[in-house]
Amino acid sequence: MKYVIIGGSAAGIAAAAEIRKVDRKGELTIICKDKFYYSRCQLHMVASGKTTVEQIRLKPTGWAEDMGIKFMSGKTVFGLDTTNRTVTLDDDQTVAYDRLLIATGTKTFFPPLEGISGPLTFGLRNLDDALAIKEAGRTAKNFTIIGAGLVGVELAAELVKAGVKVNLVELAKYPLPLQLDQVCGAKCSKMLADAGVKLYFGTPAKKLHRSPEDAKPVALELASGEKIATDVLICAAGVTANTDFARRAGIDSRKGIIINDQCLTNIPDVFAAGDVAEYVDTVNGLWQLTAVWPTAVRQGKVAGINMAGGSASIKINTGMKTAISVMGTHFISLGQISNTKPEWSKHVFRNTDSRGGESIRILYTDGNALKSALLWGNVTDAGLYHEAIVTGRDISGDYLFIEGLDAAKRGRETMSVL
Amino acid sequence: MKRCSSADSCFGNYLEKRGDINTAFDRLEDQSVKCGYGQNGVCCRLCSNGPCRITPDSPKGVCGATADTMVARNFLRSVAAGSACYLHVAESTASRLKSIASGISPIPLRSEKSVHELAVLLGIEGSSTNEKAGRIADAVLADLYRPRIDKMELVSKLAIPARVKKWQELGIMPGGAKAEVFDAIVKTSTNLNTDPVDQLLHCLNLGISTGLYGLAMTNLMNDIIMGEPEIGIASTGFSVASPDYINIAVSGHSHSVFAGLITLLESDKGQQIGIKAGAKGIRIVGLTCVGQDMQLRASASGKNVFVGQAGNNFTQEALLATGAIDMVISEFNCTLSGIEPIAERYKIKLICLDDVAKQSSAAMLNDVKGQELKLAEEICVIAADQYRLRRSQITIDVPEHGYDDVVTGVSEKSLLKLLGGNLTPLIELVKNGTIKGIAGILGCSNLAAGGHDVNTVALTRELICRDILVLSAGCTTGGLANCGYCSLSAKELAGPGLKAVCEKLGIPPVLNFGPCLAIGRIEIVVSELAKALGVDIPQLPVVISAPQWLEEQALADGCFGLALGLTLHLSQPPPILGSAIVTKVLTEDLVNLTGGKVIVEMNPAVAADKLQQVINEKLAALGIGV
Amino acid sequence: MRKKLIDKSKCVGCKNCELACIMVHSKTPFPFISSAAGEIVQSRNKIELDADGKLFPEFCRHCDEPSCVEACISGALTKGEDGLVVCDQNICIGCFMCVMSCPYGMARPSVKNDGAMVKCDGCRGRESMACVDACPQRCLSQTDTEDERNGQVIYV
Repeated sequence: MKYVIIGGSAAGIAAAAEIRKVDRKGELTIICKDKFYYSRCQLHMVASGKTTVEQIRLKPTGWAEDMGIKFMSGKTVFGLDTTNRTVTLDDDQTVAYDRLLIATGTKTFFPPLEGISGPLTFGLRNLDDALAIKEAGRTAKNFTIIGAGLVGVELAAELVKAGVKVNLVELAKYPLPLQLDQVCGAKCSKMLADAGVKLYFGTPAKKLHRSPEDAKPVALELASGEKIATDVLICAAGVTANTDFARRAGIDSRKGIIINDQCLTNIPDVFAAGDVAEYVDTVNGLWQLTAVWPTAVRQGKVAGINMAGGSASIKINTGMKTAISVMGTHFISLGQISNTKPEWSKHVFRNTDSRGGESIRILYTDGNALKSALLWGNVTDAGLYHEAIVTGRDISGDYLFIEGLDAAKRGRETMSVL
Repeated sequence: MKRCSSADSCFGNYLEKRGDINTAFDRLEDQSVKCGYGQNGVCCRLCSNGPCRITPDSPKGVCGATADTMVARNFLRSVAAGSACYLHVAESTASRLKSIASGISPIPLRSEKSVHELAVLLGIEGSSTNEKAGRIADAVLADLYRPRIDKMELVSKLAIPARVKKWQELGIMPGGAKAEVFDAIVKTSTNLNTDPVDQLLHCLNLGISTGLYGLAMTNLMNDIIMGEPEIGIASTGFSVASPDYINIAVSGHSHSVFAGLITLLESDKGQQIGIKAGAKGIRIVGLTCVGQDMQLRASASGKNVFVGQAGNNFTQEALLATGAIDMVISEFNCTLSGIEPIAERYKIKLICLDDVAKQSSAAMLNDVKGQELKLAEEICVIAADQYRLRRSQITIDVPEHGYDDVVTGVSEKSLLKLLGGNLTPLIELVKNGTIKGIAGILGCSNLAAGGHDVNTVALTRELICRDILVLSAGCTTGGLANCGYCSLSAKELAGPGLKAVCEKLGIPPVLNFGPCLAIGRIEIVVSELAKALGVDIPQLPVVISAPQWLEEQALADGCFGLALGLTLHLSQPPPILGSAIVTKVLTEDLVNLTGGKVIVEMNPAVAADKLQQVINEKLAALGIGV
Repeated sequence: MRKKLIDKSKCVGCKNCELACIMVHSKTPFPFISSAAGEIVQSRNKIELDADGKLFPEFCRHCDEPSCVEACISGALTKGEDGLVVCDQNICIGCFMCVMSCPYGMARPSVKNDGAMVKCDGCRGRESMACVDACPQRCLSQTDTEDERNGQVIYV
C-alpha cells in the first residue's frame, strides 16, 4: 500500500501518525514545501525575534525515519494524474500512490493594489515569510500590516514590542472584526494603540508607492488619500486555498477542496484535510474553510484513519473559534460574534475579580442553545462554552450559563416564582 | 462566572452596570464550595495536635473529643462572641449615658420622659432627670461588670415573671454578662468542658443577657440619649445621597457614639463647615444598623442632618462606588473589608471611632468622654477637606434607587400609641381571625441563602399573604424597605385580612422596628402580649425567623429567642448538624425546657407553611378558632 | 496503568485534594505564605457544584482522545506511554487553545497573567497521586491495572 501525503503541517502530520498507528508496513511518503514540521501559529514570534526557529519545531530531526516515513521536504507538487495515480513534483519527479491526501493548506492573499508586487512585501504563512520579515527588521523602521485579523493583530503586537514602528490598516471599524464585538473591539484597539501601534480603520488601501531606484516600499496610500510611511508591507488580509493542481486534476473545489465527512473528495482514494479543505462548519451550517489548527488536526486524523482502512468521520467541525492574547490580555471568541441574528438574545456579564482583573463575557443564545461566546480577560471554562456551542445542547438550568446571564433578571424571576 | 442576585432588582441592575467594581456579590461564587467539616461544625482547631475533623475513618479528635463535643464547643464559642458584641454596644451606650448625665459630655438628653419611664421600670429613684439617668447607667454597668457568681439584678425587671421563673428552674439566669462570656471562652478551650448539654444551656444564658441588655436595654438608653421613635415616613435607598452635600456614611450599631456629631450638625456652625467647602451642607447617610437607628428616631434628632438609610450592609460596597460618599465613620460592624479598595479608588476617608472596628486603612480618632463636640468638629473638618480633595477627581454615578414612602419609627411604645394605648385592638384582630398570627422577620442580610435578601423577601411575602403580621428588625428591614415592603402600597401584597388592617390603621403589612438592636423591642412587644393574655411566651401565636442570619451576633440573638420559648426559623442551619445531640436538643428537646425550638428550612413557601402550622397549634391551644 | 477512581457521592467539599495538589506543585514549602510573596500556585483539580448544586470533584480525565493535545500549537501537550496527558511548561506559550477546547474545563489558564496553562500531570514520577493520598473521605482512590480500556480517570 502506497500512502502519499501532500503537505507536512497540522493535517498532513496528524494523518501520517494515524496511518502509522495501524500500518507499519505500507509505504508512506510526505511531500511538502516546508523543510520540517513547525508550528505555523507561532510565526509572528519568529518574525519579531522573540522565538527561534528551533523553538517552533514540532518534531525532532529523524522522527520521519523512526516512523518509516519518506519525508520529501522542500518540494512543490505541480501535477496530479488521478487515472494513473501519480503525483508530479516541480523537479519532474513522479510519485505513485494508492491513497492520496491533499493537505496543502493556504497561501497569502495579496490584495490587487497598484504597486503591490515587488521586494519587501510579504505574507505570513511560512517560515520563509517570518524569517524575511525578521531580516527586514534589522534595517527597516516602518512596518505596515494590511488586515487586522488574527495574523495581523498578533504580528502587530509582537513587532511593536520588538521596537519597530507598526501601522495596522483594517477595512472594518475595529480589530478582529469577526471575533470581537464593538465594546471589546474598542478595548483591543486601545490596547494596541497604547502599545504604540498606529491604527487605520474603515478605509481600504489604494496604492503601494515604491522607490523608483530600488522598488522598495516607500508609502502605503489609503483610499482617503492618507499616505503611511512604509518600509515593509505585510499582507494579512486573507488566504486562499492551495487548490491549483487539484482543480486541474478534476477535484471538485469551491473556496477549498470539497470533502465529505470522511475527508474524501469526489475522486476515489483521494482525501483532503486541513486549511485546504472545505466542509460544513458545525456552528453556522455553511460550507466554508475552517482554517484553525485543532480542526486541521482532527480532519487529518480522520483522513489518516480512513486511508489506512479504518472508519472515522468528522463529527464536530468548526473554524469559528479563536484564542488570542494581546498585550497580556487573553480573550477567546467562539461561534458567530459578528453577524449575529436578530432573534438571538445577547447577554453581557462584566465583573472585576478580587485581584482587580476585569473580565467580560458576552453570550448569544437562541432559545436554550448557546450560539456564541466572547470571553475577555478571564477565559476559564472556555472549553465548556465551546462544547455547548458545537453540540447545540440545551443549556437551560446549567448554572454556568444561567448565572452568567442577567443576574438582576434572575433575581426578579426568583421573586416571581415565589 | 456569576454574580449573586438581589431581591432588590434596582440594586441588582446597578451592580450589573458596575462590572468595574469587585464586591461581595462577585466573591461569593469562588467561595461557593464549602468544606463539609466546617459546615457541620466537626472541625476543631483548638490545639496543636489538630486541626482535627470527624471523618468516617476518624470519629474522634486526637484528644478523644466526639462530634457532639466539637459542635457544642464551636457553637458556644460563637454565641459567646456574638453576645460579647452586643454587650459591647450596651456598655458603650451606658457609659455615654453616664457621662452625659454627670455633665461631662456636653450633649443633651433628648427624652426626659424616657428617663422617668425607664427609672420606674427598673425601680430606680432620683431627685432629678440627670440623677436618675446616671443611676440607670450605673445599674446597667454594674450588672455587666458583675462577677459570674452574682446574678444580674435587672433581669427580673426586664423579663416577665413567668420567664424569670422558668430560667431560674433551668439554672440559666445570667451572672455578670461579661463574666459569662469570659467563662464561655474558658469552657470552650482545649480539654475543658466537653458536655454538650451544659454548653447549650450556657448558650441560652448568654442569649438572655444579649437580649435584655445588648438589645432591649441599649434601645431604652438610646431613647433617652437620642429620643424616642415615632411613627413617620422616611426615604430609603441610594437616592438619599445627594452629590450637592458632603455625605458622611455611618456604619455600626452605637447611635450614641454619633450624638456629638449629630448635635453639631443640627447647628448652623456645623453646617457652615460644609458650606465653606462649597457644598450645600453636611449630611449623614445611613448604612447598617446605626443608620436604621437614626431613621427610627428621626423626629427627635438629626432633622435635616440624617437623610435616610441607603441600604443594608451588603449594599455598602456599591454605595461607596457611586462616588457620592465622602467619608465613612465606623464604630462597630457590619463594615465590610471589601470597602477598603473601593475607598482607596474613590478617595473616601475612612474613620474609626472604636478600635474594635478598626479597619487597616481607617484612621482611628479618639472618642474621649467630654470631648464629643470637639471630635465632631474635627470630623466635619476632615470631611470637608476630603470633599474638596476628591470631588473633581472622581465620577459620581448615583442610581435612582429606593423608596420615599417608607413607614418607620415603630417601637413597643409607638405601636401602643398607634393602637390607642394598649394591645387590645391587636389581640382582638388575632382572636377574630383577621390577623392569623405574628411573625418577627429578624436579623441579618446574607448572600448565601438564595441571594441578597431573596429568602427574606420571599418568606415575608409568603407570611403576609397568609394574613400574618410581620414585625421586622435588622438588615432584614433594610432589605425589605428597599423592596417596598415597608411602604403603605405593600398592603396590596398582603392577604385580605391583613390588607384591611393596613388600610384601617394606615400601616404597611411589615412593621419597621429598625436596627437589629430593636429585636429587643419586638421581644418587649411579645412580653407585653403575654402579659395581656395572661400566658407565658411559648403559648403565644408568635414565631420568629432569621431567614438570612449572617454572623455570631445572630446566633446570640437566636439563643435569646429560644430562651424566651419562641419557635425560631432559620434557612441555613448553623454549623451544628454534625452532632446528633446538639441538633436534637435545639430542634426537639428544647421545647420541653424553654418552649423554644429551631426549624431549619431553606424553601420560603415550605417555611411559611411550617411556621403557620406552629402558630395554628398555639392558637388552638389558646382556644382561638382557626 | 495507574487509574484514578472517583466516587463523588463521598465528597464533602473539604478541598484537601486541591490543597495537596498545590503543595506538590509548589516550589516553596508553604505556598500560602509564598503567594503573598508572589508565587501563586493553582490546584490542577477543582471541586465544583453541578447543576443541582451538588458537589462535583472535577479532575482531568487524561482522555484517550485528548482535545487539548489536538488543539496545542506548540507541542507542549502530549499524551505519554503511561497514558497521562502532560503539559511541558518550558514549551507552552500560553496561547490557551487548549483552554478553549477541553470539554471539562480542566485545561485552565494560569492565574499569573502571561503564564502558561495548568493541568493535572497525573503526578507522573511520584509514587502515588497527591490528591488520592489526601482525601479523608475515600472519595478518591487509585488502582494499578493492565486494563488500558475504559479511561484513566473513572467516575464510579
